[in-house]
Formats: sequence, structure tokens, C-alpha cells
Amino acid sequence: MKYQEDNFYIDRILNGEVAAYASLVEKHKELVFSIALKILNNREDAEEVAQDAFVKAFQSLKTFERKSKFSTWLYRIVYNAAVSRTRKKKLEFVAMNESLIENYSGEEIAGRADRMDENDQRVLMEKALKRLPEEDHLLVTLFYHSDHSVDEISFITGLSSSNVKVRLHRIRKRLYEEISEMMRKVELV
Amino acid sequence: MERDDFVQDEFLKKMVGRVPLESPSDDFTRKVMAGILVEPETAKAGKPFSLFLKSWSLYILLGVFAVIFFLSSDIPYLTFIPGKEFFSDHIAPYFISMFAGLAKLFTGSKTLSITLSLMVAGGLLFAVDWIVRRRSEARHHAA
Repeated sequence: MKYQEDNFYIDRILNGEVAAYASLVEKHKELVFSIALKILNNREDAEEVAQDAFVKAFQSLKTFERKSKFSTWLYRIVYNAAVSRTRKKKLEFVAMNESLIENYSGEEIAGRADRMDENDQRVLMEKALKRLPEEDHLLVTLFYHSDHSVDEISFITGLSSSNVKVRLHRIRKRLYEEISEMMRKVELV
Repeated sequence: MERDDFVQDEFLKKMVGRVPLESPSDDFTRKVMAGILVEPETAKAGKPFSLFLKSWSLYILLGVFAVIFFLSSDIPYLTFIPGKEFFSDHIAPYFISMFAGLAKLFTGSKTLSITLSLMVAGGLLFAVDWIVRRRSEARHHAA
């Protein structure tokens, strides 16, 4: 389904058309739920937190000053709610094992992956993402899936911009390494 | 929004895009909308006075202190306030005796007065911290 810009729905909601919020929920529910799920690792809890976040966002919509994107603001609400549910003050990002990171040729991996069909690419990527810690998977989702900038991710997660940048750089290396290793294994079989 | 070339990678973007996001249950949107439509009703039915008190308590308290101060003060320019004379003659003595009683607590014994002073100071710090936190949270929320 093709959605309008968020501000289109927000204007309608603020003019009293509450039903327009359903479109905003439909548009963002998968990412909001994914964020909660990656933090909580439990579908029921994630669904509850995601629903509460949407209700809270609706109630606070009048105070949303549009200085950031609505999605960034909404993801911050769900991120904080999910982290609070884990009873931690902040999400702990696990330090990466640098020894895992070896040399690879990004172009070669991309070239080989391009020769695979879409379904195989999906399976390959799913496996690679599953090997990441959930917190890093969350950063990948926010950066590559929802197209948020480093500064926006910093706003959502409370991490500093430089920390987000460093983590994304390492995650990127790690993903290439995982993909390369899996491709090697497939070729050996 | 500006992107960072250092971590940007079109290949990974395409590959990650192939992996579908997790989906919540089918009735997710319906439940959210039900939550939204129920919330204002419950708010209307049971919360208005408590919410009003919660958000205005500090201002109400300051207002009461201001009224007591002006009514009981000897500042000559404030004699025009209606009921000031009645307040000074009949009500102020109660306040004065109450404050005198409180003052006795602080001047009675050394240990008690130090303990009370520490408790009052701690309470004030806690109150200021609570107010500042609430304000910064509200500002954060509005960003």
C-alpha cells in the first residue's frame, strides 16, 4: 500500500480526524514492532510495548514539534519503552570481537551475491543478520531498512553519533565477513 | 537528511531490504485504535481533577503562600486589599502560632533541629530534582 507523508496524516488527526491515525499505525507498525522485538526478544511483550508506544505517541501528538521526522520521534518512544521494560537504564551494546574481522573483497562478495536469485539473497542475509547481537541488528534495521541517518539513530537510541558510526562500520565489516564465510561453505558443499 | 558515506553501503542496503521486517498480529492496528478511543473517555470520566491538581499543584501552593504573605504583611501599599484587616486580626494569629510551633522544633534540641534541617533540605533538593526532571522529560518528549 502506498502511504502519504506522515505530516499529511498528522494534520488530519490534529484537525479531529482520529481515524487517520490508523494509516500512521499501518505505515509504521512493522518497524515499531521490530524495534521492540529486538530489544525484548519476546513477541507478546514486544506487541504490548509497540501498542503502548503508538497510544502514547497519539496522546502526545499535539506536543510533537516536527523538529525531527515523526518516525524518528515514534521510534524513540518505542525504544525507550522497550528498554524500560527490560529494567535497564540503557541498552548494552556488546563489544565486537575484532579478531573475527578479516580481510575480504566487498566488490567480489557483492558480485557473487548479485548472481544469486532474490530468495537466496534473502536467506543469506537473514542468516548473516541472525549471527549479529540483537542490538546490532537493531542498528542495521534503523540504518539500512528504515533509512535513518546516523544522527537520527543517535537520537533514537541515545548513543553518541560517533558511537553509532563506529558500530555501523564494524557491523558492516562483520556482515561482509559472515556473508563471505557462508558463500565459501556453500561452494565447498 | 545527510547520509554518512563511511558506513553507507548500497549492496548491504539492497540485501537488508530483501529481509522482511517482523510483523505484529493481524489485529494490531485495531487494538491500538481501540486503546486510543478508550483513553480519552476514561480520562474524561475519572481523571480531570487529579490531573488538574497534578499539573497545577506547584502553582497553587505558590499562590496560597503569596496570598498569605500579602494578607499578613505590613507593607503600607497593600492596605487596600479587601479583608486584610480581618485576616490580620482573626486568621494570622493561627498561622503565627503554627509557625512558632514549627520554629520550636528547629530550636528545641540540637540533634532534633539538625535532623529536621537535613530532612527539609533533602526534601527540597528532591522536589527541585523532580521538577527539573519532569521539565526536561517534557522538553525531550516534545522534540
